[in-house]
Amino acid sequence: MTPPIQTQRIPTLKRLLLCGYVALAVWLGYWQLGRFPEFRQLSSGNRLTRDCVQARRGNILDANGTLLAMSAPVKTVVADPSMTLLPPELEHCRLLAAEVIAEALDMDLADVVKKITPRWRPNADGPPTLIRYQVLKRNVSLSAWDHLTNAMRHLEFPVDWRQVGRTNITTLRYLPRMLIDSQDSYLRRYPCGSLAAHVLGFTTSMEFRRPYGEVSEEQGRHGVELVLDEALTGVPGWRLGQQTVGARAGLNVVLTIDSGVQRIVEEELQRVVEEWDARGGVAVVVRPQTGDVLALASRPDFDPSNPTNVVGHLNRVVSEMLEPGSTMKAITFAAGLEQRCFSWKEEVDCHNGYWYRPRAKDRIRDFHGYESLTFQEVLMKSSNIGTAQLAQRIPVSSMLELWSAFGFGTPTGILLPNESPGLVNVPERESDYLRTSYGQHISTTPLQMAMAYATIANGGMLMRPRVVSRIEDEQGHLMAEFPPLPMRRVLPESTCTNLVAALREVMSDGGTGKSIRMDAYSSSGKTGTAQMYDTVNGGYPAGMDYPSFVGFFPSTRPEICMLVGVVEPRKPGRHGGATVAGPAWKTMAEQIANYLRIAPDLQPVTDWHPGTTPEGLSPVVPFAARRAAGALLGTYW
Amino acid sequence: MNERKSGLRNAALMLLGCTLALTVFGLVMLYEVASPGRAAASVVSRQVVALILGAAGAGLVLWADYGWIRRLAWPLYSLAVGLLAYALVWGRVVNGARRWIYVAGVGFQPSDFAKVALLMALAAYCSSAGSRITSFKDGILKPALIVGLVTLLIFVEPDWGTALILGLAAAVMLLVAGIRLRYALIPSVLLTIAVGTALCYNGLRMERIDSWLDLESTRRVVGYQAWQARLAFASGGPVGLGFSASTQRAFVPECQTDFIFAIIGEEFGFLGSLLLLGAFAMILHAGLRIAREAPDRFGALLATGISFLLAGQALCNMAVVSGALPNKGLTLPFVSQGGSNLMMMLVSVGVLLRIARAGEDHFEVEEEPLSLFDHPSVVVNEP
Repeated sequence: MTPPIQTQRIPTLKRLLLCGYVALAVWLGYWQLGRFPEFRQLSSGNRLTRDCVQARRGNILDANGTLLAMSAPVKTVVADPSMTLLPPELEHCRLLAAEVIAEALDMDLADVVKKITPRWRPNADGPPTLIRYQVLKRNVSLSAWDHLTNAMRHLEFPVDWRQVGRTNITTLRYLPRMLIDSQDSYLRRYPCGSLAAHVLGFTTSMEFRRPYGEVSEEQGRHGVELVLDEALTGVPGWRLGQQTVGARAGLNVVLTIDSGVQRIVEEELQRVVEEWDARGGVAVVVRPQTGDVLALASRPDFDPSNPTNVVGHLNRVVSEMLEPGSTMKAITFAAGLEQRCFSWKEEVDCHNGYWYRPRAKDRIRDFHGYESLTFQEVLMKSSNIGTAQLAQRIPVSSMLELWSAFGFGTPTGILLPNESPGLVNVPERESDYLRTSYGQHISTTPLQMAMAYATIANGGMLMRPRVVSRIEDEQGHLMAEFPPLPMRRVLPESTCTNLVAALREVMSDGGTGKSIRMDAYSSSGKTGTAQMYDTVNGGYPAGMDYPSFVGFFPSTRPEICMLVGVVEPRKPGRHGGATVAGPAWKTMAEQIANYLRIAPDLQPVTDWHPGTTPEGLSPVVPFAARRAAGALLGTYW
Repeated sequence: MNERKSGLRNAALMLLGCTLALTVFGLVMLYEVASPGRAAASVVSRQVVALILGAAGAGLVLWADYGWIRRLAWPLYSLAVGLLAYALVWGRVVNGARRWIYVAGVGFQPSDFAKVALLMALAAYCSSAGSRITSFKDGILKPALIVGLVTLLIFVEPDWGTALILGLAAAVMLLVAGIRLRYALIPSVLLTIAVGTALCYNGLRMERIDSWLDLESTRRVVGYQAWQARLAFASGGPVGLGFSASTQRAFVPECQTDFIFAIIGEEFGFLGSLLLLGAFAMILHAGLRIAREAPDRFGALLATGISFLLAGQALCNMAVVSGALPNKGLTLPFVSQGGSNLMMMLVSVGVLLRIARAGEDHFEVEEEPLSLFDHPSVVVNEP
C-alpha cells in the first residue's frame, strides 16, 4: 500500500525550488556582475533626458521706466498622441478629449483631432515608432492652461468599463493625465501697442538646436530688438535629470525715448499724414545738448506684436534718403558766416524770381519773385536765388568740409538698424553746387537734418543721437551705459548764436514760418519744400513733394530740436513746408513744452491775476465754503 | 530528541527573524522609494497599519487553540470563495482588474485571503482523506474541484500570476499528501495545454511574452517596465549604488509594489539580491523544518504549502523583475507595498509558528513521537 503521506517528496520538491533560487542567483550574477558597467551607462542615459529652460527676454523701457516691450510667461501645450491609441469602437473617447482641448484652447476641433490621433514614424532601422510629441498650440496663457488641466481632470468617458478590456482601461485611465503637457515659454508683448514701433522693432520666434536640446527663442528683427539682440537675449538653462540650471533672463534696455513725447508726436504726425493724404511722414525730437532722441516716429508704421504690415517696417527717419530742400539753406548761411563773406544787412539782387545764367545754361527760380532782398530776408523768405549767390562766394572745398562736419554722407551712429548714410555728391558743375546750397542734389536722412539743427542749437557741437541710455540687469544693476557722446565741433559758438538769431527771424511776420510762431516760446527753424527724386525713373515728377519743418525752441536756451516732414502729400493744394509740416510742428512743440514743463521765454498767453478765473479752470470756491472746509479740517487760515 | 526540539525552535526563530527583517526592510525601502513627495508618509503609514493588523492576526493564531485552525479551514474557504465571487461581480476596477473589495473605504484583495484559506482547506481535505488520496477520485478529482474553484475565480479577475503560483503550491501539497504521480501526470499536461491555449488567445499576455523574449526592441512600448527594471538592477553592480542612491526609481513603473526588487538590486547590488534570495530560502527551509516536526498531517501539509507559496512567490517575483520570466503581477512577500497582502503573509507566518508550537508541545506530550520523516512508511492515524 502506498504511504498516505509522501514525505520523501518534500526534499525533492525543496531541491527543485532551491534549484530555481540558484538559477535566479546565476541569472542575477550575469546581469549584476557581468554586465553592470554597460547598464550603468545605459541607465545614466535615462537621467540625461535633457531639457531646455527658456530664458526670459529682457524688457525695453522708456526714459521714465514705462514698459514698452516685455516678455510674458505663457505655455506651449503639447500632446502625446500615443496616449490615445484606442480601437475604433472607443474613438469617441478621443473625440471627447479633443472637444475638451479645442474648447479650452479655442482651437478648431478637426485640427485637434488630427493632432492627437496616433501616428507612426518610419524608422530607417527597426520597426516604426509612435510619435509621442506634438505641439498643439503655442503662446497659451497661464489661465487657459489651468482651465485646460482642470477640464481634463474632470474628463469622464461614457463607456461601459466591463466591456472595454484591460489595455483600453489602462489607456483611458491614463489619458486625461498623460495626453497633454506644457512647456514654459515666453511671449513678446508690447503694452503700448504700436507706440515707438520703429525704435522698438519686433521679434520672431524661432526654434534653435542647442547642445542641451531644442529651445524656442525670440530673435530681434528690427529696431532696438535687433541691434541689442545679444543683450536682450538671456542664457537658457537646462534640466539634466534632477539637476536644474536655471535660465538667466536677458538684460533690460532703457531708452531715451519719452513715451509721453512719443505719443504726442505720433498722434499729431498721424493726424497730419491723414489730413494731407500723404504716403508717409517723419518726426524726430532730439535734445540738442545730449543728442537724446525723445521721440522718433515714422509713417506708415506697424504693430510690433503682429508685424505683418511690411510697408511700415521702413524707418524713414534713419533709412530714407530725401533731398532736404530749403532747410539746407541754414547750412549754407553757416558756411557763409564762417567765411565772413556777407553781412545780414547786405542787399542782394534776386532777379525777380527768375535767374538765368546764359554761360551755364542754368536757371534758378524762386516761388515768390523779389527785386532785391537783404541776406536776412533771403533766409527769412527762403530765396533760392539769394542763397545761390551767397554760395558763389564760398569756396566749394570749405562747403564740402562743412557738410561732412555736419555728418552728411555718413551715418549718425544711432543704435538703430538700416541707417542710411545719405548722399553727398561732389559738385562737378557750378550749377550743381548752387543747387546743393538750397537743398537739391544732396540727400540726407531726416535724422541727419535734425542733428544738424541740433548742432546749431547746441552752439556748434554735434552730438551722436542717442536712443539707448543704459542696459540694466533684472534687479536694475547697471550693466552698460551709453553716455551722451560729443562727436565733433562743427561751428564756433559765436557763429551759432548769430545763426540762431537769423533763424528766429524765419518766424517773424515777413518770414515763411510766420504761422509757426509760438506765443510763449521763441523758436528758430526753417521751412523746407523739397521735390522728391524719383529713384526709379529719375527726375523730379510733379506732385512728389517733401514739405518739412525743422527747428528748435526756446531760441535763447534750446531744449527741444524737432523735425517734422510729410512725404508725398496727395491732397491738392500748396505743399509748402509752412503749410503742411509747420502747423504740425507747432502743435507738437506746444504740447511737448507743456508736457515737459519747459519754462516759457516770452510773455505768457493770458494775463492771469489772482482772484480771477482763467477760462477752462474750475471756478474759485467761494470764500465762505473755503472757510467752512478749513474749520472742518481744523486748520486756521 | 533535544536536538530535534532545539532544531525546531531554531527554525521558528529563523522564520520569525527573516519575516521581521524583511518586513522592516520593506518599510524602509517603501519610504525611500516613495520619498520624493508627500505620498511617502501616507504609503508607509498605511503599510504600518497593515503590519500591525497582520501582526495582531498572527498573534491571535499563535495563541489560539491548534485544533481551531483545522476547524476553521472549511468556513474560511467558503468565505474566500464568497468574497472572490463578490469582488468579481461588484468589486472595483483597478488597473483593469476586479480584485478589490471596499469596506468602509478600506480596500483589500480577497485573493490574498483566498490563498491562505485554500491551503488550509486543502490540507484539511488531504489529512482527512487518509489513504484514499491515492485513488484518482479522491486524490485528483476532488482536490481539483477545491483548488480549481478558487484559482479559477482568481484567474478570471484576471490575476494569472496569483492563480498560477497558488495552483503550484496546491500541487506541491497534493504531491506531498501522496497522490499518485501517474494520475497527476495527465491532468497537469491537460492543464498546461489549457493555460497555453488561453495564453495564445490573450493579446496582452502574448505581448508580454513577446516582449520578454525580445526586450531590447520592445523597451519603449510593452517592455518599458521590464527594461527600466533591468536598467535599475543591472546598474547596481556587485555591491550597489548605496542606500537611497537609486536614480531609477523615477523611471521604473510600480517600483514600490511589484517591482521593488529592481530598486533593491540597484541600491544593494548583487550582494543585496543574494541576501534577499537567501532570506526567502531560509524561510522555505524553516517552513519545511516546521512541517517535518508538525504534530499531525494537517499541520505538516499546511506548513509545506505555505512555505512553498511564500518562497515560490518570492522567486517568481524576483525572476519577473530581473527579466527571467515574463511579467505576471506578483508582489514580493513582506517587502512590496500592499496592505492585505502583507497582512495575510504575516498571518500565514503566524500559522507556521503555531504549527511549530504545536510540534513542540507534541514533544512534551509524547516522548515517543511519530516522526513522519524518520518513518515515512508509517500510517499516521487521524487525531
